[in-house]
Amino acid sequence: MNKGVPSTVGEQRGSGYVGAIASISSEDVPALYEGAKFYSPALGDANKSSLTSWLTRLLDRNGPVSLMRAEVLPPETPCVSLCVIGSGSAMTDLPPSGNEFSMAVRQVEQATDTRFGAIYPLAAATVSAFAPVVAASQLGISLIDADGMGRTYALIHHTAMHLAGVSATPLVAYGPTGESVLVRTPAGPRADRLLRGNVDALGGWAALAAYPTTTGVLRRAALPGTLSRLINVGRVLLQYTDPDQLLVRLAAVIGCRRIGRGRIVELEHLSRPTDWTIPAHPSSLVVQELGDLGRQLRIELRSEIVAVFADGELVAAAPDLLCLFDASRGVLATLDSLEPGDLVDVLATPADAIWYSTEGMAMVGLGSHGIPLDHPRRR
Amino acid sequence: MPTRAGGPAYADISLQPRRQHAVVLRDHRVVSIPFVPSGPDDVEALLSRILAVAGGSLEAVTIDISQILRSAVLPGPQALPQVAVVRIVPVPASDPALARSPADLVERLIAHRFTVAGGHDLLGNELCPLDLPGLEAVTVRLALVGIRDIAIVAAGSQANPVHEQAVANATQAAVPQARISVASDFGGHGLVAREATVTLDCALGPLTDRLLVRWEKALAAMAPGVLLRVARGDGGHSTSSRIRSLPVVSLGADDALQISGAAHLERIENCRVLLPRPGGQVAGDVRNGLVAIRSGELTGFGVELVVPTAVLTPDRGGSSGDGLGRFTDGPVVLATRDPQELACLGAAVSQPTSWLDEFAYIESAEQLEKVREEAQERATAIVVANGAAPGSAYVAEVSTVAVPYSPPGTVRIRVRVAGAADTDPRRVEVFDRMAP
Amino acid sequence: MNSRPSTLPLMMADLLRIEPLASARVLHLAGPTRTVAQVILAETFDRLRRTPPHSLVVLHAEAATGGWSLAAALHLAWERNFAGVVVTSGVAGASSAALADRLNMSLLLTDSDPVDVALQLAGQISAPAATRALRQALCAERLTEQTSIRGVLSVLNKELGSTPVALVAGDAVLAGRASAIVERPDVAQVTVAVNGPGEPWARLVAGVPVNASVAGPHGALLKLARPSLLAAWAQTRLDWATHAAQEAAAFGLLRRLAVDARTPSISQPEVEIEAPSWSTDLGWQVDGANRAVWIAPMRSAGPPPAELTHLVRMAWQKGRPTWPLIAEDDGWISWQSGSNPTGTAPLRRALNSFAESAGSYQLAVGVGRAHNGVPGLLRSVAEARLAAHVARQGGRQDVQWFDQVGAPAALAWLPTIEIAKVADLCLSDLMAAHDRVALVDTALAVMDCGGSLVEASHRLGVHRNTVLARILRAKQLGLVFDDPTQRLALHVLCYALASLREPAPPVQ
Repeated sequence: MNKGVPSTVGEQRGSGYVGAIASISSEDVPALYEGAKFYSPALGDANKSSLTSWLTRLLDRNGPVSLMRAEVLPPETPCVSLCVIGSGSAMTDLPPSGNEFSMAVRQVEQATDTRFGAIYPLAAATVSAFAPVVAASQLGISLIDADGMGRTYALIHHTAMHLAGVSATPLVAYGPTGESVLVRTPAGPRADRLLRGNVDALGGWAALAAYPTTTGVLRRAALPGTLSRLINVGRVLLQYTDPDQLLVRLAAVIGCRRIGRGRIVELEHLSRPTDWTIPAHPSSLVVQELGDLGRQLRIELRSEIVAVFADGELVAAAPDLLCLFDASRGVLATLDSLEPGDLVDVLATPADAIWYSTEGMAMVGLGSHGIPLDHPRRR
Repeated sequence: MPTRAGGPAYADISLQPRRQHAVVLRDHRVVSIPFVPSGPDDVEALLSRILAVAGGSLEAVTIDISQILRSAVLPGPQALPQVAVVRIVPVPASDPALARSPADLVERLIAHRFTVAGGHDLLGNELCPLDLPGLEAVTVRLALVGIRDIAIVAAGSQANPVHEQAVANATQAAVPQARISVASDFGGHGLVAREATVTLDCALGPLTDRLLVRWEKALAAMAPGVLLRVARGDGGHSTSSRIRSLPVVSLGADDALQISGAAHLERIENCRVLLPRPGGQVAGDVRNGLVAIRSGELTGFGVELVVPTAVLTPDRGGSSGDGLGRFTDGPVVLATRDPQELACLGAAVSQPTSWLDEFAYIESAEQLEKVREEAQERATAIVVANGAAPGSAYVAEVSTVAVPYSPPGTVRIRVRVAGAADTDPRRVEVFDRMAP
Repeated sequence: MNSRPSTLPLMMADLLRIEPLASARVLHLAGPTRTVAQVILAETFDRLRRTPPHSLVVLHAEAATGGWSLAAALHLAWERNFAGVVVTSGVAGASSAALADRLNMSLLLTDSDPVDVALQLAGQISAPAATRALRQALCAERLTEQTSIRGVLSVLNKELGSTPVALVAGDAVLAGRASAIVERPDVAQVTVAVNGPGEPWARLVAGVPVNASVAGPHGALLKLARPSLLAAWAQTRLDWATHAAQEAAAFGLLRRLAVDARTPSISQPEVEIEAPSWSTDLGWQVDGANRAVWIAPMRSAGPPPAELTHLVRMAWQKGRPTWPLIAEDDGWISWQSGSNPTGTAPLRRALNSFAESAGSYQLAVGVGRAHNGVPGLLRSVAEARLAAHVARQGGRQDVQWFDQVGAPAALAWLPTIEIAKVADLCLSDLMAAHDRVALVDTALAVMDCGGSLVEASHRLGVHRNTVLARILRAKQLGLVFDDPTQRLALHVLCYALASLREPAPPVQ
């Protein structure tokens, strides 16, 4: 291995983690952005300035959004989750007009005849981490420090709420074209199927308000503290850009470890049978590891990194959170901008425990990506 | 002493707001030309000094205007014209923060903004029919405000430019003297970045025209037949007339040229170059003799652009312990020479280049291959228009990635093509006129 | 044919020589002698995990869904020490070859249905003797298809993979890979004699690596090749014989053409004679500047035997297959034709590569000057022949160039044996003397030196008085060369006598 690389994870040093966060102000926007990218390294920075300046101005205008644990709010408080469905690339090309998220919430309110007292992220990562903050600020309601994925998965029923029996519908997808779709179905997986085609017609992305429920249900049905965690990770990423120092901090905060470091040598497409109902076709990345080991790292991609093989041996796999860090530039390498020759660290972070349960694995594990191998943690 | 013996000579000039730096490259020797302060006859004065060294062997002059353009854009005495921007999207922004550019220095250039309903998605499907009555109202207003420089950007115009073209045609009809820039000329990704790019392009047009026309005239008078090339932000060069029609592609050329110049001095094809900068040392990479580029934010601009520029990373070098250390497994070059001289050297070794960043839809590996080949062909046609000798173009970089969370089959293709500079002025002119 | 027990497991090399793997693309081959205990059609990774070592695994279905599955299978194969992995072409990419190489695991790509491939392979492995026999039968088939020695050797070398095979006569490699006869501690040589009708002709040598885990069927395969080699040899001889007759006739015709058109003097040979079209049919070039070569045995004894002609042709045409070689009288004619009369580089290269053969077959070689057209060719032939005689006369095996030989060439043309016989008659006293050698040499030296005793004594390395004494004795025995009417005859006689002895003095 390269010198200076810590051989064990969990080494505690410095002050990466500052615990739960009570509110999100405009000053937190850069950390929110970096953290959101870490938890879903799908989208590059092509829309960074627009997104961050929008949220910054919004939070400056309306004041900070309060971030509360579900336990703090009265259990009967109606709440709804928000995210961006569709691709961040489409959103970059067709930015929000500004009211999509609040309109999606309002339309679910109309459909359920409720007034929501709080909003929570459906998936606290990538642009979907921004959506609930924007809506909470615009609607002047609280933001709950919990989400349904703790990262992103491909389909909208890949959530802790779905596993806990909370219905995703009625849901509303409100697009940048000013049009919206209301979906009612008792079956979670059907909701995604019904929605995908509509999302394309709405411009490739839409604001999605789903899983209307109460904070009491959310206490057991969502993954707690994920927004705080995301901002804390973002702060670490902003503070440390040296890949080795960063790894030490991330190991301490979230148990992140490095699988290897190498150069991208090959990008393959349609490298596995394609299920055309799931976004982003399968592709693969081959990384030639630097140093004495010199292993061939094979990285299987969909919208997220699905699996990492080292010389053919499965060493990490979904639901682990896998991401690439551009070691020569000190920034996260996003899946939409990889190039042969890039020098990357392959990082693995354990996902929330629920995803390693039998039900969780069945839904988002390797099997769901057509790779019939046991997860390395189970062997 | 003018002389004709030896191989061809090339002059490379770095224009700065108050002075001009030049070198002459001949038979692998670099001769620095004493700088000339800016003034009414500075071009002629510099050119005569260059000719004194290069004599009749002078074949081409490469000029880097990026520093002049940058200082015109950055805050200071306003030197650029005001621009009107027409945005074509399905729904106008409801939040003022989304109606404007995130970058103050871009917004400063914009006197009027208009929105016309219309636009396409990433793959060119129409999202909303073009609002023709709305367009008419906008053109009437444009004619009324009496602004000449107009930038037009439509959602998805890189995939389908029909709305953008319709608006451009209507605008030209309503404001016959208008100078119009359209975003589909640049391709790229991201409405905000594309809008910023086309706005800057529009605003930089007149200044670039003035600069390059002076040089063209001086060259025609003092050294007829000598080609004028202009450095690009990706470290390559284009013909003078191509840059006059798309001036924004020359932004950031100084960074790229300094990096390639420093690498060339050390004769290394793959390395990291450390450049001293007032705000702290930055690093740029050179791969296979070309500067590593990406479309993104140009330092200090506050917004992403869709024209590629050198990727600069803060890098103190070595183990600094301040968290800014970077990892690299190749040689590291510290650029210690005068930056202007390095830039001139970089211009001397630059090649005509082109760059494409597109989205496409594929259903099979064969289709992917076809889509990739088409992109390469387009990029090759552009590089020839940029002054490459026909047949010399080669694909320097190509990457295709699946677009996360998009419908399966959506791919993003980036192609970088370079070629050998054509030395035949007549042919360069012909291909220039045939530019795609 | 193979005396080994039939239950011995097959090697990868055995399987690679027969279908279905014969048409498989080998991305990496860990070792041709790797044994294959069984074939497994693996549809799942579970199956792979239960597969015993030394298995050849054919991936199918779930286990062959893409690059990742091949990578994972290669890793399992490496972990479990499989003999190799077979997969359909679409699954493998550039990185698969790199990984197979890194893990040193054989990886074969096939375009056939993996189930069929596995079934066929399983059949082959369950009957190794039959498979080996099939391999040998197929090899024999391929061998019989070959009509040239080169072709036979190439089949053998392909069949035996890393084991080089050569056809050797004496120490010379006639065909195949020369590395077969290089003696190395880690290589054992297997030799099979290849006998022509009634006489040993050559032998086939295979350099077999001694560390090969299982002895291969080398001897059996070499023996298999024997009939094909002999047939190819006979065929080529037949071909050559026909061709040689054709060439000799054609050259005779050419000579006739030149004679018919000849002007009275040989000094004006450049009469325009159009090269007949059939000369180009034979692959000859005669239009340009022609420089002829005459090759002849050192000791002339009439027309050389057909076998020698054959060997000389093989050696001469090795590097220059298009140059003619025509047997005429006691030697062979060839020529280089080109536009540049001074360009001798190709000829020099040909002569260099022929030098070894010239040595071993005891040949004299002469080269004429370059002259244009058909008459020029014939003139050059005459010059080359003279030069070759000079070489022969001098007992020299270095090539003689007419340009450098000059007038002494005339001497080489003398019928020295006949002249020497005359000496026996007209100088019988001298020829009977016990010191005749010294006397003849001394007389010759004095005559060569224009009568100067001092020069002659220098040349002979003896005292002047000794020279004087020998001349007096020679005169007493009848060698009176003071007489101008006899001097030329005696000079020639002495030259003939001296040149018949070994070692002969160099001409010039």
